[in-house]
Amino acid sequence: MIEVNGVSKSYGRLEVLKDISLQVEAGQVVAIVGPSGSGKSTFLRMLNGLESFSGGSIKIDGHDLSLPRELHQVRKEVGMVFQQFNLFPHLTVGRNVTIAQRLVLKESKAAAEERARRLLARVGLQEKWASYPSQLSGGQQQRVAIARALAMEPKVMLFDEATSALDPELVGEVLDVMRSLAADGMTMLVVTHEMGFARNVADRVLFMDAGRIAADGPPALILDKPKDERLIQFLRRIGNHERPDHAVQPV
Amino acid sequence: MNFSLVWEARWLILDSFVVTLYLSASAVVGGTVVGMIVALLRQFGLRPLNLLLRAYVELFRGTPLLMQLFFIYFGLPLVNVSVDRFWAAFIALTCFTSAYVAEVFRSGIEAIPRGQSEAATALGMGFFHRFFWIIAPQALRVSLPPLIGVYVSVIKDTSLATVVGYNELTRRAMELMLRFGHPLEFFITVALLYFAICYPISKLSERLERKLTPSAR
Repeated sequence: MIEVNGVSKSYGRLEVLKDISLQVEAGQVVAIVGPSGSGKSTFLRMLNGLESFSGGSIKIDGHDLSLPRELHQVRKEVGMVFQQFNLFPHLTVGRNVTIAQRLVLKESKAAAEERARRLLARVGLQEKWASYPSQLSGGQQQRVAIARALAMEPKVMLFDEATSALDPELVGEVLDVMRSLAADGMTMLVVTHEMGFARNVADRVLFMDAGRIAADGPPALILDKPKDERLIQFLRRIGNHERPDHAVQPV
Repeated sequence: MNFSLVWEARWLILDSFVVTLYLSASAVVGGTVVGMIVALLRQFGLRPLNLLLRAYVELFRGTPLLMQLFFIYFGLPLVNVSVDRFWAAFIALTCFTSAYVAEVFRSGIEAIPRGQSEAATALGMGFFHRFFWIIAPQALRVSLPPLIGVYVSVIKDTSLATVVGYNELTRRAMELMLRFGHPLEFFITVALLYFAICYPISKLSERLERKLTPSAR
């Protein structure tokens, strides 16, 4: 589904990503962890063209991201959820979820609204149709943002620290939605600090450090039997070795 | 003070009051349309185009409106474009206003967090969809109070059209004064009429500002 081959990126002299290669199969859930500044978000944003890259190639579902026409196609197939939600504050929840369907997919009003209602029900917010984002809690806003991305019927979903801006008691409701998406077989790349999520939901964990993928493997291997020295340090620093999954056992 | 003369000239004054309203409305509409086009074009981020647009904005913000009126009224005929008094006043006021509107609108656009544009991009929306459906409506909301401030200035600035002989309110007051004397009575009346237009608009702007600023919405 995703093929990344030898991709790099630098800001001036600063090299933020170095020769990254990665293959992700359809249906895989990949958690990307690592210290801040390690390039995880930059890498994720590259996968839908929000960041440019130099050298190498990225293909998503067969579409080459370096070609402008393909890029547009890729954006339709790749959904993204941001740390700051980025809902459109001037539009109601319903319009937030329908607007891209109408403008980009050229769906009829009825079809777009039908799909939006179904997705809002799925994230448990069907009654918020006429509300504005500012009237929702952070967790609710993020769930709407997930519904908005799903409305494009993406094949891949990218989550860029989707729970980092949330109050701790609201993290669980968003993780629940992400978990149910994973269970439905969505291909997901999740930049996260939630080790519980990485451990229990992801099929695979990438550890990024200083612009490289420093470790890559199943969660049990990466998180419980880390070999890489920096990974060991990182795991110790976040003190998260045996922390229970937020949503399963709310504290 | 003798306001009976003013009362006798009331229809003449009212007539030019309407003329002032008409010129103001035309300049506000023209300035807004041109200003927003300038702001939109600047979003393309093309260097030569941006330089040109910035030159336009700086030219009309950096020179007195009075000079602009003279240049258009006396200058355009020299290149065989004949303008009557209304059109000279309208063109000058439109250019002048559009320079301010463009700046207000540009800073409104810059006040919108980048995440808005990114979220729209990630949903597959192209430049025009992003601009007209996501960015512009929010920028307009932020820009509304300062925009109204610009409009109030424009209404007052229509009085400068006097110099090209356009028969708006100030011109009419001068003519009446020259014919009948009693300058204070005529000018007080005219000043009150300007105030009657501008004050409610300023109040409206204040109320909008209070309504729009406390929350993001």
